[in-house]
Amino acid sequence: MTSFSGNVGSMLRDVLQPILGDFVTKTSVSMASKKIGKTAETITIEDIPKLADALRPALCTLIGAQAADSVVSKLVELGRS
Amino acid sequence: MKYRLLCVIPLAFGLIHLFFYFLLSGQDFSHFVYYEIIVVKLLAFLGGLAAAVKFKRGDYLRFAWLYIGGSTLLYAISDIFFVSIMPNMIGITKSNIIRGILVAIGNLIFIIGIWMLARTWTSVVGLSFPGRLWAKRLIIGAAILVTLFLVVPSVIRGLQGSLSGNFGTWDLIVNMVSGLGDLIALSLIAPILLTALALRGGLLKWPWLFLTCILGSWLIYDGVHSWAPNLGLSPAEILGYANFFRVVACLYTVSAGLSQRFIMEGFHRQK
Repeated sequence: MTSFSGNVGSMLRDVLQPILGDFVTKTSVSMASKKIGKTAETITIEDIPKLADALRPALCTLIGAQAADSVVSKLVELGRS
Repeated sequence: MKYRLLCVIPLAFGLIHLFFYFLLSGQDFSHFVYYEIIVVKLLAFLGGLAAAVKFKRGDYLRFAWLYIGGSTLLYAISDIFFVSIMPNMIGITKSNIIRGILVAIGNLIFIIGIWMLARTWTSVVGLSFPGRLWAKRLIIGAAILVTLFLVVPSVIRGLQGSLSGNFGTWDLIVNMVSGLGDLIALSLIAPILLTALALRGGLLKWPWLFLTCILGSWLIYDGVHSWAPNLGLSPAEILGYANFFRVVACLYTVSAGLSQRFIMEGFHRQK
């Protein structure tokens, strides 16, 4: 199982875990990281907007486009702050 | 807290159903069940609709929720057209044909809805289920075996009744469609349960847990019809106990739809 730690990992976990739970947060971040040519362990704060976009299709399916957009913007904001 | 309430309410209403079963006499209870089932089916339709309208046009799960809610609406309309639990109303009449068509379409769209939900995780989202491969295969295999064990005897009984001339040809077709529909839809309980397990610890586990409860309740409902006669239960007892699970299944549809809606509304408010 992929693990992600540090500030970026904790940011992603804070946003995604309450919705998706621990297992899906880890697997979906791992899948999205691969899509942008990285691994969950090497994601940096600059990667968050791209990562958020890569996560969008899965979120869209589960919670609809509108709610997915809300999560994606929250992640992008976190990446900027 | 509200999700836990959504978990408990269907069971509480199931207990109220049992209370009326013990309180009312046979004929009065039959009338009570007739109206009760129509009401819970209409509520189930509203539950599915509540979730569907929160998704935008083109969102994958919008149609799955519409199909699940829509199937219960068709079943409710079929009950209104044709009083299925009342005796002496079987035959090839106009209302019987309308009922058959509605039940067949209802079953078909229920299967499509459950099929869409079942393939959400692996085929649409592209994620794998938690756990080892052998454990996942074991759960899927066990679900199919349990479905066969609980559903097949009632399907065979229905077919035997039709073939022995107790029912018309049209009823034979309706029974076959219903039975096959139950077999296909209920055997898909495993991927839905695995999705709920994957989402453990997150809010999204609730709609998937309730969806599992819907299929589980329908399975036991069929199981009561399959095995209760062998256990020596009277038709009145079967009506009482089986409909407990029908009430619970329909009300878990409400819980599933509402929980999906509440989760999505939470994001809209945050925006």
